[in-house]
Amino acid sequence: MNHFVIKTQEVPKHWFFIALVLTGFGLLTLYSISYHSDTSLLTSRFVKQIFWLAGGFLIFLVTFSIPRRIIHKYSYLAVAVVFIMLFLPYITGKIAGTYRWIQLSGFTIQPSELLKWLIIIALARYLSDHNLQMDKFRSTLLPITFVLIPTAIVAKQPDLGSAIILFAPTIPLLYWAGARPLHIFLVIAPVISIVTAFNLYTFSIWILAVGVVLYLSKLGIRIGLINFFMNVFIGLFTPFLWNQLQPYQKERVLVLIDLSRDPYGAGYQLIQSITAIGSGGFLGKGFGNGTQTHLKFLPEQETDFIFSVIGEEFGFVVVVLILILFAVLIWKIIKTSFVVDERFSSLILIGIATIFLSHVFVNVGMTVNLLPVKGLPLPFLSYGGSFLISCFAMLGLAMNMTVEDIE
Amino acid sequence: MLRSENYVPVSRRNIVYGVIIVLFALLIGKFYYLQIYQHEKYRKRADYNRIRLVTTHAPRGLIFDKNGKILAANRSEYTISVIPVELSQKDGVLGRLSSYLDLSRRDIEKNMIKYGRGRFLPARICRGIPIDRLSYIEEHKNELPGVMYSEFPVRLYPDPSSPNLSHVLGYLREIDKETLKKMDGGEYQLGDFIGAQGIEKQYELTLKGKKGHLYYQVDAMGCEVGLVQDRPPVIAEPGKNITLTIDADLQAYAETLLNRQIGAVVMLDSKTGGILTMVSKPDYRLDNFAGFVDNHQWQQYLTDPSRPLLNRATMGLYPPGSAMKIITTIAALENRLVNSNWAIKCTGEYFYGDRIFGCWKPEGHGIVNMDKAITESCNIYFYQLVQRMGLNQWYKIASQFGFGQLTGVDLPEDYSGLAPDIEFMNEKYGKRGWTKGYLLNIAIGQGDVLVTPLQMATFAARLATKGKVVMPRLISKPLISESKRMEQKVKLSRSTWSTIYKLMYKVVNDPNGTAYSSRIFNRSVKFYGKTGTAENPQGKPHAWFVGFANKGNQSVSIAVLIENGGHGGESAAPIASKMIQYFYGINSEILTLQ
Repeated sequence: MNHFVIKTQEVPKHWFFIALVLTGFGLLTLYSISYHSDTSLLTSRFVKQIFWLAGGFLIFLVTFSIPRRIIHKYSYLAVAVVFIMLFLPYITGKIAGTYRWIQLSGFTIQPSELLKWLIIIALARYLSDHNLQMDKFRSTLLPITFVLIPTAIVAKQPDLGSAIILFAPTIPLLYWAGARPLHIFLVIAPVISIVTAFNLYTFSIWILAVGVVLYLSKLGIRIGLINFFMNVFIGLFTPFLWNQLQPYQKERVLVLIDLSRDPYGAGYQLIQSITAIGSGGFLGKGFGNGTQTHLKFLPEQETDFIFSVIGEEFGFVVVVLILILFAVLIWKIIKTSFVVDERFSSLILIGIATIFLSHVFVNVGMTVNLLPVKGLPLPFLSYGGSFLISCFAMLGLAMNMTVEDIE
Repeated sequence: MLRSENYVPVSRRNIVYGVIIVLFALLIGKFYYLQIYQHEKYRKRADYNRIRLVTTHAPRGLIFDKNGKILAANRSEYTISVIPVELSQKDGVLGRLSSYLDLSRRDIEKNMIKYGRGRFLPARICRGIPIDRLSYIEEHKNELPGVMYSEFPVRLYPDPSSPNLSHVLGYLREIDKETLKKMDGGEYQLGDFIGAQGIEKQYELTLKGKKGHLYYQVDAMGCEVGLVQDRPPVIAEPGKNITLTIDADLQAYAETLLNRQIGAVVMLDSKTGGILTMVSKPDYRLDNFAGFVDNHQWQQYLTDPSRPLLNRATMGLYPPGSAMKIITTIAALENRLVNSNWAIKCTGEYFYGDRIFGCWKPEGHGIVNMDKAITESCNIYFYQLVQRMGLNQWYKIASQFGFGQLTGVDLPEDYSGLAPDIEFMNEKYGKRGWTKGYLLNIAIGQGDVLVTPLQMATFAARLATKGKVVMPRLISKPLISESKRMEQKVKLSRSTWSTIYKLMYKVVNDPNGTAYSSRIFNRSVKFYGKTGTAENPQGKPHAWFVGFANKGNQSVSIAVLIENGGHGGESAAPIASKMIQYFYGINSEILTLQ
């Protein structure tokens, strides 16, 4: 207990404070939504979220106080266990048409939610334990392959959003660990080849760019050519693979391209979200006055589109305030990650910052049609037990990494 | 194990910082664009989402007769509409609606297409909903998101004993998509009623009033959740009332007099031109057009060979027959072609060129002077008279009395008929294609001359007022331009007037007159007229009577036409006589007793 007190004195307490303010905004918004609702306040999601918040604090205390070496020691085991849990939904059965959740008497667990940050810990351990020669391409490729396996399984559940978040921290982690940008480029290049493959014009420009980078990289003529033609091949093969996608996945990508294509399909949500945000204006319509929200035009307003509610009711001012709070939190975590004198902690911090950043950017970007709808919640604000608890767990973990272990 | 040292180059940290700045700048920029720059656009769109504009229809203005009797009023009809965009559970809602309304699902969807005005506006699917059914639907409102009802005023013709007045009042038609496109919308919507004939069409703008609006707040399911606070409702303004010059009793009497005959009666106040009666038979009951007209019934009206929708009083074109002899006589007198003592011998036949023109009386009238020519309506007299006349001399008089001209009546249906002048004849037959022989027909109101019953009544009124340019009208207060025109006069010499009056008086009151049997015994009424029997190649001739009757300061003019009625003195004149006696309150039974 004495250790804990010393620990709390050293940590950046304002991280926790920022998280509390963000959670407060989330609760305020949930309260506003339930304000005009028919259901009583006691059964509302506002009250439920407060209940989840208590769980979040509890987990926070756990991840914050566990000694770092224990985290280090059991990280592989934890990943292995949760990895196996990914297959349990295939035994317990589908929920809402997907294999995302494990049903346990009364409540559900989403293993991919845990896996998000457990993978970071495992990767951090892998990249810090071995004296890896990061300028070797092999050192970049191996961890990526390692992460891609659970990513593919999660994507197959299907849960494209979580899969992306699962994979997203890998690149910054590698970069942080010292991987060569060229190697990262080589890994990312095929993905961009896929995206650009749908337009001959952009694809041609991209392939040209790949060629130039490879030529300047002094990779050697053989590897350069292999890489080049691999990208060309992937680009040409993509349209065929596209047809293998789920219709809803196709739809979500397509909606990004043309907003008004189908006002009743996926585009409907976006139109309503943008309308809510745009109509909020500078100061918003006021607490409980959002017509888009309270007349139920805005879908998923407590989870995916909670930020649209904030945009409508509280306006541009609060939107910017919340975004700045997120930016400050992420910035501070990265800054700390730069100064901690030990690699394992540093990598965990950059990984958690990446998760927060991708959640914020994908979620908020989706509400204003910068990105396709991915069904990703907004950290600390969106309603949802697993995710809120997970966020506080990550926060605790991050804060844990800021102080030296007291042996 | 935990001792591996952390070393990250500053450049790498700065790149990560850069990525964060760019991403957040992108987000804030996009929010700025939406919330500040495009705020107005999205504010409107949000309003458009939540506000349902419900139109309240204005009742049309009432129509009264000259004595203040209501001819056309309004009643409420309830209609059910659906808003396609709000039909979130289409199958369930339409299924329930179908059973509540007793209307097949197919009909509902058909009407949704027919009256569809886009996804966001109500499409009417059913009208004339009885009140009990309506209240049932109102109770089940929550099961029917996207369904709304509204009140719709339709015409009511309150007094079943009042005259048909079909062509005068005119019917209303529902605006369909094509009409709406042609009219370029304006304040009209699909399914609104618009005057299609008669007064309803002529005074559409006066009668229709102004629509009101209610702003309801609706949720995403399409359920109304109260009125919008900051948008006060606009109350519908009823249309303005109109008082006609029609005398409903007289009109009803005329309608019964014509009974099953095909024809028209027009009676005017000679001095003002106010139309007291305008009947066209066959007609129809306006009740059949109040509210919804089913297509079958409409087709029946359209294809009926007797054409009940046609207003024969203003659109029926007939040769005037002998009634036109008055014009010929006036032209002769005014141009001093003959004096009133000029006489000819009628043998019943007249040779002109290689053709024989007959008189209606085959054995001939013997020696005929002007008196006898008009009173007994001898054709031969006029054949000879017109030999001295140029066509334009005739045309000048005819047009001054309104022939070949629009009457200027305040009805959308107003035909000018045809009074030929030299130009017309040259155009029709070629400059050398017609001879004076054509004039023989024109002189007796045959050939190319065509008139409407309203023109004939107007003609009579101009005679009755000794040349006042009377314009017929239906609304009790004339427009200024019309009253100005009525100050003009047809200038004829005094002797011409007295000759014409004398002759027209004799037609009715001389024992040899063609309308003698229709004379009026009451001495206080001076009855003048002229019969006409218009040859009709399709069958029996059309019977005409045109005339006027003065009593004290009052004067009424009348024209009666009976299609295939035979001789004007037999079928048309008695109706005119009865009408005049009814108007002046003379018991016509005395007539029958004597």
